[in-house]
Amino acid sequence: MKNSSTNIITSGNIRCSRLLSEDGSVTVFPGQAVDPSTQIAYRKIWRKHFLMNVTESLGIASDENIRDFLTIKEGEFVSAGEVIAKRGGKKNQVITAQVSSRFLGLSSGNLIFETDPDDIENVIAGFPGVVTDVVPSRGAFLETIGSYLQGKWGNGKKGQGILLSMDMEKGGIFGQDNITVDIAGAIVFANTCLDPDALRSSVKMSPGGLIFGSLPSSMLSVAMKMPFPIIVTDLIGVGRLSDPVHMVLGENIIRFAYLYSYSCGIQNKQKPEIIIPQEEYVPEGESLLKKLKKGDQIRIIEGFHGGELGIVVELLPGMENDSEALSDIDRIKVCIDQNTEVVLPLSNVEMIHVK
Amino acid sequence: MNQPQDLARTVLYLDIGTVNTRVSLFDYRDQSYLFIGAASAATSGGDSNYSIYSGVVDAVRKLERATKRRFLDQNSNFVIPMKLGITGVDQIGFSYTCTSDPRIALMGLTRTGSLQNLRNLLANTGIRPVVEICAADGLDISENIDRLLNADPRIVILAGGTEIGAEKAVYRLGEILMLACKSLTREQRPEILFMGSALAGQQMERVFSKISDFSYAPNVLEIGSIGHSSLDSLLSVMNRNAEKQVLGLKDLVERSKTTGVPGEFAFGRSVRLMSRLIKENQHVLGIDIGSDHTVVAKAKNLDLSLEVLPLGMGKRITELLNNFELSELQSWIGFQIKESEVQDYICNKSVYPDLVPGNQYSAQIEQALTRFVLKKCAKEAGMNSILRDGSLGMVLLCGSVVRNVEDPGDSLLIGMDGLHPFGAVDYFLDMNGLTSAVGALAQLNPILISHIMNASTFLNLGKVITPYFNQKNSKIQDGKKFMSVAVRDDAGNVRKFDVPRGRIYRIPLDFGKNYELDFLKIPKEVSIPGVRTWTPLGFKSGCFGIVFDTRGDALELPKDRTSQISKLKFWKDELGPWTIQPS
Repeated sequence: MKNSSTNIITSGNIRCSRLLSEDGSVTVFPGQAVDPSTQIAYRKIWRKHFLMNVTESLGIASDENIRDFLTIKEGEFVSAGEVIAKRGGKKNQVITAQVSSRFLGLSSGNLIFETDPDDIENVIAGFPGVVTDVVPSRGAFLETIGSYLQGKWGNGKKGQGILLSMDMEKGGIFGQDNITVDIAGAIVFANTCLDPDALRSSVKMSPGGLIFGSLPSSMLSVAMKMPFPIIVTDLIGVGRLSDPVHMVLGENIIRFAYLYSYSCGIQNKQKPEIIIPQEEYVPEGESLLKKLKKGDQIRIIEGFHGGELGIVVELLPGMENDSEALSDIDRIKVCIDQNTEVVLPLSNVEMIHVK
Repeated sequence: MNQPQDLARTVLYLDIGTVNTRVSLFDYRDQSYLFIGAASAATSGGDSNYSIYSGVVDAVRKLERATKRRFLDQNSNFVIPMKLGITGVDQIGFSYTCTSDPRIALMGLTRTGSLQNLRNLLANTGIRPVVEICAADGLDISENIDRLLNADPRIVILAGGTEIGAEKAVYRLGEILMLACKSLTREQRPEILFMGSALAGQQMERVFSKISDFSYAPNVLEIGSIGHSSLDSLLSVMNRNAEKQVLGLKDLVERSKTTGVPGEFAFGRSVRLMSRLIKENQHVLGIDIGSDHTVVAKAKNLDLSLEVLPLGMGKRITELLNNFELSELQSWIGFQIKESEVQDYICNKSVYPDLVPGNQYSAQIEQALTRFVLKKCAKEAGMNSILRDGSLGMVLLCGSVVRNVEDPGDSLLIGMDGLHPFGAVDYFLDMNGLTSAVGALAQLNPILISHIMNASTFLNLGKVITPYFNQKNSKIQDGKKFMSVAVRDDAGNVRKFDVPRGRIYRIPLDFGKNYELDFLKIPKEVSIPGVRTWTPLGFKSGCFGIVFDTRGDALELPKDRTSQISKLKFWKDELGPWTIQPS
């Protein structure tokens, strides 16, 4: 289908879609701040199912209801060793789960469990931003402010790092000479790469990613195998970075950049993206108060809402609210769902930061 | 019989492809429907953010400019019915190929009973089921759940039993499906179509309507797979599924006040219809080369075999390179080019599927690729026998890659090289993308179909006679006299021709006129499958007259590039330019 324009934003509001190719489950909500690794949506199946016959093990008679002996409910997760059925009285017997699994249901006196969950499709944010719109069953739109480039081809990987440039005065061709410790963890951009061995060797330095203006088609299969993201911005063939692309990348050297390309299935209709947020994304720091901001996702450690997830709606630093009994304690107001907001001591929550 | 005033005066047909949306206009004038014109625009909705309706509007607006008429109002709604003679449209039909495989799973009691009926039903759409769950296989419930879930179906069709039995066995199948649904989130659950007994249907509906989208159709075992109600139910489910997948399709249904059909089904129906119009017991072969997939439809005496193959000239184009060497492809390109440049073009095309060949060089690369698509189709769709035994009577070439050529001779050569069928075969080219229109409008407006099928809907490229002989065993050398024929026109004038070996030998004739061909002399080692050489062969001349392809049983190009290029040029020159315009 038509995708006739390539977007390049030198500086401004960036809006990216993160959508599944088919209906699935969306895990974010409008207003939520997301990390690069935050899962936006997924489609999951349980690959393996197995039966467990408890009728014989517990000696359940045909006139007895098997459900009366179960200690688990349909849809519940069970860990290995957990009791799943028991019989009291004289024949005190217990049946435990052999492997961790989920209880799916009953069929002809057999318990059916499922294991090996597999995300057949998983969409992550890929950059720090805020969810502005949710597309039901598909995903969400994320926004941030900064610079943005759409590429032409990507190898289906995602990554991040400090943006660095090859020496463009020497032709800007990525080769064996450029494989130094400097590129470790960095996103490096160059005009092109003509040596497949240079790409292979670069793996040793674990770059955050590579951006090329062009890449010959014969190199694409090598690029596909690289464990880090590679994005081609202008041409499949031999060429260089176009001026607008070079300008945007050049202006953002030593800033944090995020590379995002969808896996190369037939469903993939989206162009790979290079996102350079204006505010540098700071990985998790020491102080939770400094780190937390409105919209962040947290988990409540204990208490009535223990284990539940919530969103920070207000930060309440200790010394600024003397009227409250717990005024010397830093607190936050957390929204658990549409109708539930609670104020909790900061130390009673932990930030959810999936990596 | 319908009176003219009851007929739709203006009919629009929309074909929403993966890359292009095409709109065709038909008018009822002077007691007959006429094809007026067509327009194309890029299919919108590339990344799920945009509606495909925007591409439809673009295409219709183009047609409006070309015909100086209005079909849409200022809010981009279709004006239905027609007003004041030049505004609006009376009837709209559409087909779509912009969806991916609906991944249909079949569940039945026996492989030869209910599953066979379901398989036959599905064959009307060219779709192969992603999995078949058969109660008679004896697998336990967990294994069947694994198989069903790992196939990740979007539609499940369940059938089994007659109207008066086997309910319990059907319920056991239903249990597998119910547990599989429970394993998935609501959004991921497949749509269910039940085609079993009415009694079981009520029970199934009671259970499954709470779990997923459920619909019920008459028992497939009772009415068979060719029943209209079964097919209509299947198409309805497929349409609903497509509406969920493609943003804007539902909008199009509402605004056009009609329901579409899958493009593959429309194409198949059209080719099936054509099999009625040619000589009895001969096959019609329709090949529609698309961006994402290629549809191959074979039909003989209304018996259709439809295949949808994952071969395309768009995003999938790079996958073609898995089937042959780049050097093989290069050998079919008629100018000096490096392999790496060919590969670069293919990769760029995979990124930009709407790329149109801007010069003869890129056109030749695409035409070379198309030859390999046809070869692969012949292999995948099991066409070897009809290409060799002379039962193939007609080849219809469709798709923008064969339509958008500078010279229709290129399309004819693509067909001759790619398929290389033996016998006497008429080649037709779908110049206006109307094959699917015939299939999609057949039910909506059969009169329109009868009228446009009478006219020259497709461009008759010509009859190609390909004798079978083994090049190595033949005593006659290339270029020497091979066989003698005589062509007699309507007025009784007879011209004799000596056909040389190893050539493409064209006899130019007046386009659209009837002729008779007599075989005067044929060597013993040569046969023309399917042709009775002792009696005259009547035919209608195409725009290349009649063509003899005496290149032998295996098309082989020389080894060195210079000879390859000159050979390709020689063949093209022998076929000659398209000098005879259709009348």
